[in-house]
Amino acid sequence: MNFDTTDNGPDIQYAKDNANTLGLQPGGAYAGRDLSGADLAGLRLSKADFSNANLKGANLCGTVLDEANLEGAVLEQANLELAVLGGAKLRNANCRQANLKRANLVGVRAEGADFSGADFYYSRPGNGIFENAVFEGAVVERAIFRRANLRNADMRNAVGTANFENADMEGVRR
Amino acid sequence: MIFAHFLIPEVNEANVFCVACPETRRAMLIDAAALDPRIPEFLQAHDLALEAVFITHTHYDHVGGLAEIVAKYAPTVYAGVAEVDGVAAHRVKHDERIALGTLEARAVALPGHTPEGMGLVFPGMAFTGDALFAGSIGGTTSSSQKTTEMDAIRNHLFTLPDEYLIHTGHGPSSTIAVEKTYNPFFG
Repeated sequence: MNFDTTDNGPDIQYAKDNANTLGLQPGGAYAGRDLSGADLAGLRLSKADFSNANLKGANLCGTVLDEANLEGAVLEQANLELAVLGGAKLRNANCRQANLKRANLVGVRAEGADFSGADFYYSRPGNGIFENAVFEGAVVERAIFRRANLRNADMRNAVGTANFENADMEGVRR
Repeated sequence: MIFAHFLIPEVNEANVFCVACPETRRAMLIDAAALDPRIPEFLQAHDLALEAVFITHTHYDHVGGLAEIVAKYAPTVYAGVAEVDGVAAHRVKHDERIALGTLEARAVALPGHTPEGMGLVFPGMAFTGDALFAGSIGGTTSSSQKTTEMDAIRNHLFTLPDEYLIHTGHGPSSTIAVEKTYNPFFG
């Protein structure tokens, strides 16, 4: 897949299946790998293992990471706009100041993840598990946390109006 | 397959998609919220001829740019009704095949959000309009419409292979497996 990085191009463009210069593939094993600042936009990387990988500042716009393992990964300041993270594992991941605008976070397991200062505008974290996660200063405007588990999450200074229909908010700090 | 996603934030965060046959350079838009300037630029840059527009349903945020697109490119318009916003359309039926160069798509009926709602299935991906979203379903105004919508999703989308991508009318894309497993309305 290729991604058009010009400012005037589409938001996501796939032209060819999984043609990427780093050779990453769906289901691949990349635990602990340093991919900081890498351009992985628009790639299909379903079920890949990025546990404890360094993806700080990476471009993951529109990247398909469904059921990927991102436990303990560093996603600080990464661009995950429109990324597909449904069913992904994000336990204890560092997602500080990540761009999660319009991201698919349906059913993620993100216990203890740090989303401080992240932008969740119009994202879809429904049915996700965010126990003990940190959302301090995060933007949650129009995010849909329907039926999410937010037990003991830290949402102090989070800003915006989100949908928390049937979410478990027990012990949430606000 | 050539694929592009154009997000139109100013028209209710609607999505417009372009698919094209890499061999024949014939292109189709799925939905027509607006003729965003990036669309003609993309078509020209990739030497694509816009042959068709598939309308998932006739709400304003999915058809607002259709008249302008038809005036500029004269594509065949496919929809679940015979006229869309004053534009004549080929009324597609459930399971009808639509050729795009060497590609073939299949229309699927997705009523509920609107009576005429249709989806389009290409090999490896489906376009669901406002019937199915990442983690949600389209809004309905009665329990019977909601039942109709959920039945259509189960019968016409959740029967696709798990790894198929779904591209929705608003918001992010997803996969069949993710929605079957985690969508709060189903999982």
